[in-house]
Amino acid sequence: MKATPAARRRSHRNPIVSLVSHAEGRQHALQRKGRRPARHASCFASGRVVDVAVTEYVRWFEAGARKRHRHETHRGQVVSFTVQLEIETDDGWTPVVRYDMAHGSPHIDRYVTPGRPTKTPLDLSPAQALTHADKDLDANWCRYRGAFLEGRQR
Amino acid sequence: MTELQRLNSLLGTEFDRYVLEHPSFAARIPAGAEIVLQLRGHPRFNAWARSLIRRNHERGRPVLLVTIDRLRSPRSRLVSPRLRQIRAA
Repeated sequence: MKATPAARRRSHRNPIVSLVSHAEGRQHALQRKGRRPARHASCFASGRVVDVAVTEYVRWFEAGARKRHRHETHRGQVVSFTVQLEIETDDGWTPVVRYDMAHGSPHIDRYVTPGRPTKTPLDLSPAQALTHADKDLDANWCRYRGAFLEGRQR
Repeated sequence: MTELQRLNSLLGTEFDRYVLEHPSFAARIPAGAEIVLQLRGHPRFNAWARSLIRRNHERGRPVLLVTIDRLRSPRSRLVSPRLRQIRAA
């Protein structure tokens, strides 16, 4: 796959960018041919570009309450995830509880007050934390929603 | 939680686990899809799940119907537990 002119210009400054542009170019080429590109993204890990498989979907609990699930795997291993309970309020969809690895290690953010999360680290591997996150939100979404709405009313 | 919501949560947890354990299945889920779970032999639950997506569907998101044949009965995940009697104190 030939690099685009813009990628060639960028590659003179940063060789890693050219690899990302190559992956993006491949995606565009597949789309032009009418084929659905593989759902993967490129991310940097220790200075190297690696391909990760991204899975993302939404499941409804009831009207105004849903769970957003996203995880990325590399060679079958979970490398990143975000699982979040969202409640519909007057301000739109608002996260109430979120499990993710935004800072490299699994943790839980609880939005007791909108916009100000309480962070709790999880001493679990990414795969264990992801399983725990899904299970916890599926079992306790009703309770989390009640506590959040109660907090807003105070 | 109502009985239908409880069943939805149970199936949802199992679905999440299945997706993680079966990457080729996961690859068939369009990005950002809304998942509707259906369980064979449960018409009331299936109708409820469909009405939930009908009322709350977000425009622009693909909707994916997941029909489940059945759930296996839960089994212990313990491997080779051993018994040994000891003194209490």
